[in-house]
Amino acid sequence: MTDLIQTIDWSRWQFALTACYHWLFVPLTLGLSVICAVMETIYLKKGRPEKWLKLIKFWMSLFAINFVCGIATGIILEFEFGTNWSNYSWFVGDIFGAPLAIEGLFAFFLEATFVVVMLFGWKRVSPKFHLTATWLTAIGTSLSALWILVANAWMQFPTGMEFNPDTMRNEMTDFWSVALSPVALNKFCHTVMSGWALSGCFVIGVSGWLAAFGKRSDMAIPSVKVAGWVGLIGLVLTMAAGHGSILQVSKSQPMKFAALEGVWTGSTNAELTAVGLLNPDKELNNAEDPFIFKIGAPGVLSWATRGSTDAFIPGIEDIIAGRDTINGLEVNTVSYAERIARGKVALAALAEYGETHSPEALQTLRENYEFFGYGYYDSPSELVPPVGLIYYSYHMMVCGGMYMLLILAIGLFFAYKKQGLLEKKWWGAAAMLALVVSWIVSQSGWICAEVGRQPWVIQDLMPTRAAISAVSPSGVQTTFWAFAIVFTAMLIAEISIMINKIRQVAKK
Amino acid sequence: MISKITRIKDFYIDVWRRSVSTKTGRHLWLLLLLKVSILLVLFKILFFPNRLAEYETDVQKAEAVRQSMLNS
Repeated sequence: MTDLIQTIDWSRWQFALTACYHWLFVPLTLGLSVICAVMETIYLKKGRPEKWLKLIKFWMSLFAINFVCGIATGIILEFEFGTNWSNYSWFVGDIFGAPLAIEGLFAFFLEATFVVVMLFGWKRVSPKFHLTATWLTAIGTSLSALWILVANAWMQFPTGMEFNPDTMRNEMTDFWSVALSPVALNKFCHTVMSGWALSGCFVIGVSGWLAAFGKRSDMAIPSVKVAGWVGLIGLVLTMAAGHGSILQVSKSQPMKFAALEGVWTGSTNAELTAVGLLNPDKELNNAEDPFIFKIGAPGVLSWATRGSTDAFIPGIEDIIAGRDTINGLEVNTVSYAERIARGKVALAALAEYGETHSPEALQTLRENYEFFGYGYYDSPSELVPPVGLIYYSYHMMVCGGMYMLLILAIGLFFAYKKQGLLEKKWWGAAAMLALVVSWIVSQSGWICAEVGRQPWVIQDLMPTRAAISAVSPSGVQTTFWAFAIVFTAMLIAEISIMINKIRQVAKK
Repeated sequence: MISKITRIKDFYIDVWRRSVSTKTGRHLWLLLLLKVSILLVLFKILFFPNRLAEYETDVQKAEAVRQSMLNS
């Protein structure tokens, strides 16, 4: 058992490290491609002035560096699926197969083809064709992200499939309910728009440095105007989709929702905590206060989630007990004790079906399959996710998002009304801080989304412990450290190349 | 048709020449080669075999996953 826990922990760390490294590059590709496309559209509308061409080529060169640095970082995740998570990859095979195949086609043909035209086709194709290629690059990156996010959304909210115990696979029965599930749509909008917001902050951060320390206001001002609008629109839409996403989570993953908000005991007039320090001694059903300190707005969580300050918001303890109150009426959801019991029935039925292929076992499995994953546990306390990490990463994301909003709005105001202030060193520092904060926000968002789903790999159906392969913990540990060393070295090289490019422009 | 293919080929050859003509371009190609050789070739071969590839048929793979999941 100790070996299994070590294998799970190291495999999770390894996957988290690889995914976080991959996600350093993806959001910038998503947003910077749009910023370049908007700039190029303005360049054509203005009659192709040389100043704008230089500006576009500069940002495209940073896009190219980021694009090359991001290549192949996602494929490593697929290696890990096959080696460390072979049960999982088999169990979800049919659901993941279609979206990932479409993603591969989009990424390879559309994105890769037009990226080359965008970067090197200036004198080889007509200006309009070049602009089309730039927009297709931007659209292609978003479309390829769509399919990965559809697959991820299915893990949060499994739908449109039926489990086949003969093949041990979840087989897709309804492609559109997988592709257009409300979780997938919210996740796609939230994630892609967050890439726009991050890229807006990236351009404002680099422009802040160029104006304040590199004396290149001529480049910084138009860049801030374009990136400020793209970033601001992206951030507002990120917030709107984030709200949609959190409403969805409150319905389909109430345990994650309770952990995000740090709610252990349900109440009406539930408070939305803006800032809080969690009590590390708080455990399931003990009398400790969940917070050591907090500042919040009473009633706002009830109002924002269920439309009224009088609405009841269930906490972790209520969800486990199967208690909820909707529109003033007590509603019994399925308690975790019952879910565990039914999960064990489903697991036993799967074992029996494997040996006998009896229709009765199949029927029992189908009747209890929605709680299949609960059968791996003996106590509801094992099904509580790590509240601290989820709560803090979620609040870090929200607070950092507010700072990004402030910098994007102030940047735009300065670029239009007070251009001299863009050259102030304090502004350069604040804008560069926004660049760093935007990456912390982006990573925090994924941490709360993925850790919030724990202990599940696929919500309610497959726990992390059942998804893992029989691999030795020492092997996974070795590759974790190997990845950590290689990724760190590469990241240093990649950031150096980017900084050198920015410095070259400042010197000119 | 042939002239179109030739133009596309020339375009990609030109892209290659221009991309290696700058210091940044050379650094990026080097980084890409290193990354592909270390991550995709070395790691994949040495450390990341497909665990289910040892089973020949889908039936065997399904049975292996069933046993593994039931014994977790």
